[in-house]
Amino acid sequence: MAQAVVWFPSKDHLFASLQPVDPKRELSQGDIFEDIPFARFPYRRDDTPKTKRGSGMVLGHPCDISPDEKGAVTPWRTLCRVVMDKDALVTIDGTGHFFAFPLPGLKGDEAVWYADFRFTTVVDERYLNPDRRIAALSLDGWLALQRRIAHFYSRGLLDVSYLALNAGHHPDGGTFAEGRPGTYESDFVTVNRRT
Amino acid sequence: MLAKPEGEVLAPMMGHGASTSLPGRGAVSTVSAVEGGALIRDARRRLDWSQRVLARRLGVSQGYVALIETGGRTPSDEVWTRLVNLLRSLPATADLVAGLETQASRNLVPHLTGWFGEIQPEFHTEGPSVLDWVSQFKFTVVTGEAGSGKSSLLRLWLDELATAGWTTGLVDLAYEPDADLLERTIRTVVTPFATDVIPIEPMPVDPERRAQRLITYVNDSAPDAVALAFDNWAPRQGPIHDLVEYLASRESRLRIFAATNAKAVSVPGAAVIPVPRPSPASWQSWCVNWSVPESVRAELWRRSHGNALAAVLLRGSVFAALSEAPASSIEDLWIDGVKSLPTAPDVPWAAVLRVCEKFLGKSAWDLIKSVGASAEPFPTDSAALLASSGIASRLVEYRFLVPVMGFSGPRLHVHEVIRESQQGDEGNASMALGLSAGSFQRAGRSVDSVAALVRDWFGQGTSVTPEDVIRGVDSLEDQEIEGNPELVLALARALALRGSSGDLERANQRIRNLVARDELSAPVLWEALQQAADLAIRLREYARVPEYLDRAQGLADSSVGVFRREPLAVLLARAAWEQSLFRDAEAALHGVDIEGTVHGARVASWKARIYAALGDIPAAARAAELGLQAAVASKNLRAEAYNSVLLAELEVMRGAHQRAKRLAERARSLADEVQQSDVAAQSLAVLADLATARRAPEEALGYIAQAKERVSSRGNQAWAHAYLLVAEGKVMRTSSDWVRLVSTAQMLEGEARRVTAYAPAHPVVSLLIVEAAWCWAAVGYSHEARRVLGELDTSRAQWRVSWEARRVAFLAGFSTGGDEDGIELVREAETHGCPYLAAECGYGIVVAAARRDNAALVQQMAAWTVAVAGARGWTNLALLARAYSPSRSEPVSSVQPQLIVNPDGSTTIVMPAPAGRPSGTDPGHPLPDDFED
Repeated sequence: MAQAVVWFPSKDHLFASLQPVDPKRELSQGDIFEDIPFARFPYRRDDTPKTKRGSGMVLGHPCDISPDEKGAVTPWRTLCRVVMDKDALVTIDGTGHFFAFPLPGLKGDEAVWYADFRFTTVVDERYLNPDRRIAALSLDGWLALQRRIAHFYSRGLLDVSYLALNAGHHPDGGTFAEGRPGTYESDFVTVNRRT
Repeated sequence: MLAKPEGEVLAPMMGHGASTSLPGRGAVSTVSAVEGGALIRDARRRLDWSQRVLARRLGVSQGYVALIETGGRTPSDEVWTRLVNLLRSLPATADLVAGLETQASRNLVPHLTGWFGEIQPEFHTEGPSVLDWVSQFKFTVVTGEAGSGKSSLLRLWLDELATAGWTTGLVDLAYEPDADLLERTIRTVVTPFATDVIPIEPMPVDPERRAQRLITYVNDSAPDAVALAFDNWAPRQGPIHDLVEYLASRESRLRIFAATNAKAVSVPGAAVIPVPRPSPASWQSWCVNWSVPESVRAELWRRSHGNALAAVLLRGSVFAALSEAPASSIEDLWIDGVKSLPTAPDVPWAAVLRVCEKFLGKSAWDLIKSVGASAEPFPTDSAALLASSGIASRLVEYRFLVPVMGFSGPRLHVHEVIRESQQGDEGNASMALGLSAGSFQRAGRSVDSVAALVRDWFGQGTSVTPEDVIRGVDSLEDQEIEGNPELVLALARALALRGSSGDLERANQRIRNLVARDELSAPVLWEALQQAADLAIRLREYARVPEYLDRAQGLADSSVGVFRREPLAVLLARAAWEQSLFRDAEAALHGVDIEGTVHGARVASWKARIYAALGDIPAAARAAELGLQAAVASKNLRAEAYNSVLLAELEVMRGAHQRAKRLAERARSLADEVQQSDVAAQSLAVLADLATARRAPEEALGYIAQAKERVSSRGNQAWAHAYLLVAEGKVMRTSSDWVRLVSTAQMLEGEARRVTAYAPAHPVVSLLIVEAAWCWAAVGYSHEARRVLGELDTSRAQWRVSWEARRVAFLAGFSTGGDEDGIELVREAETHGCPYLAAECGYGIVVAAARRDNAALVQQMAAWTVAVAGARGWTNLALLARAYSPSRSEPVSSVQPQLIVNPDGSTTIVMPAPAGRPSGTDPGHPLPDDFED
């Protein structure tokens, strides 16, 4: 259990949209799709790769995947696996299991899922069919994801106020989940920013 | 019997207000009105009652009492009867009425008693003061073996309360044939002076609704202080008996006592106390009084196990023999009587009664038997009884027959132990009649039809219940049952599942006889050996389990591939689990796979229990999940219910409360369907737990009441009661009822002691101890919590129990590690896969820290709890923690961020990872990889 650094939004503010997600919504980092193929190679002692389909989360930043930007240059998209926390071991306070980004309520129930940064796949953009999109993160959720990704790859913990400078890159713009504009203060000096 | 001053023949009466003459009464009292007035005055002075108090007890005006006292008015039959009954029920005035009685009924059966009995206990016992007691406890259950003095204790208590102005009444449930009569009796007792006939609207036999109606009646009609005692109460033995618990569970002025023979009884909500033994001094005094030779006094105590009734009946036998042969030596008779008793450590009542029969002679014994065999107290106007009234009066004197006052006159009955001993006596005409009547019912049954029923029961998805099977098999002749081993197996299994009082012993006897037979086929022997092991576990005879399992294993070895070994592994694991040998239990099931069969479902449920006990909650949940799938696949409702409720319990700890609720409701529904009332009660306890988590204590108590109802429909299910008591404790901890919480703590401790007496290693013992400590801590008695936890053997405790013990110690302020202990508890819960438990603990730490003015800890844990509970959707917990968490605060991290100015002028703030937390210290087990599933 860590010090009480608030980094994760409440359950009601994590997602901008759950299934069904508006097909017209711009593809964004943190979007979750179903039926994405993942592979392991070699699988155990067998040289035959094992593939499995399941949920995956888009890892690329909007600048890289947007069709109006660099997304137009390459069709390949990187996603990480999204799996259910069957053992209820993923903590939400940010301690431990740094490879995991918790997704409580992803399937509309109490089960906690998580994005596992360790296991990624690269698929053609055509796999990211809007019909298969089951969730899109809110601005709060996206900022938390960015912090988590940065922490996983760098062990550096980024202040949310810095990340919020780029909030305009989020499909909803710089607004909170419910659509109201807001400001982010440094969570290094603030806890319980939002009540 | 009794007469009013004018000398009219008067029937003693209680209830209905109907006064009838008693046939066969020739003697008439000639007590004058003046003497009657003097009697009232004397009695009033002895009792130190004002005329007003007496008038209230009699249901008349104060002026009317004054007129009677001065001889200005002659009391009516009814008032006179009330008066005499009242005075006779009070020790201080009983002798005044006894004098009247002697004059009035000299040629009737002597010593006829009033409602409460005139016979005073022969032994002095040390017990609590009832007035103090009733101020604390609404429902008291007195336990003790037959003849130990429970009824006497009830009567003493009622007398004491009556002296203090209470309205009291005693109801003997042995003679209450139906609920209507019982309700009428209770109404009469609580409002003894009502003159109208009490209408009872018809109502389905529903003890709960009936209890509610009675409570309404009591609240509307009865005086302020009312105490009801129920003798021969048998918990969970049908609606008549259930009514008592329902009465006690409702909010009312009633104080309820119940006496029961049930051993190790656990009655949620009741203060259960053993009946006190006669004191040594009282015993010595009694022996001297009745000329027991000194040489056999100790032996009499030993062989009668200090049982008051046994001693009294032996005394009666000895003196009856002496009256028949006055030349005999009383010492010799005593020695003969005592030496006739077996020396075994468990002398049966039959042996005591055989000695009595020997001394009393045939005619007296036949009379006792005729009274004992009657379905209700035997009216004294029975020609047979009156014809032998000489014997009857002697038997009353010697206490073989006990007079009682019923609604239609004085009656005689025998004590339950004598009554029971007469069952099945072939020489008894009424019993023979009953048996022949039963054979008519049996004619409709055949072995084939019962065998079909049994097959249906063993089949899948059946609606046949254990009760159906027992009724079906019992309708057959014993020879028919014994000739068909499958029926014996079915009967034993059904009895084991029903588990009412005596069922296990009966099943065990049948099965032991079966496994001793040589001609059994291998499949029958295989099944019988498993059932024998199962019953040995249920009877806590764990040492016998390996014996049966070894035989079964031998059978399996000699018939390779014929028998599945999973059931043996499960039985071995169960036996180990019940002795808190969790590692042994785990070893017993090691390597046994969970298949999609009913065997797999059973293996899974025991694996789940064992893993949970060892603290591997994720593994436990996985096992229960697989067990649930196996149960559904095999369409076994019982296994599905069992695995559902296990999984529900685990989901509560994990925080998936909606799922837990769905599972618990499903389990309850299935358990009700297959009449698995302990599983139904367990499901309701989970629902209560969930309601408690939502801070809805009323709803939680409602579930607990329903659970009691389920358990009350089942007999000697000691574990179910204990677990239910723990569940009740968890709910009560969230209530503000201080007195009830203390009472709950005491009950939990008492239950722990009782269970320890016969199953010291059972896991429920530590559960009871820790819950008792929880309740004490919740009420603020940390020293009591500490004392209770001192009794905990942590080496035997399940992980959760051990964790809760440390939690209580921390919250009550006697843990040794300071704040770190609290943080460690949260961390431990997280790493064991119990995030909700962790968050709940976090909130508890906040509250405890606030109480100790530890602002830093409050701030840290409140913020943490708000964040975690909010993210998980545990709204209530988040709200509660938020109350301690200010909206803004100073940095909570001691590690300062670094500001980095990038080449392009932008800035990055970087927070170093907290020291001492390298990635290798991820809490808990590695997360499972679904590629490996």
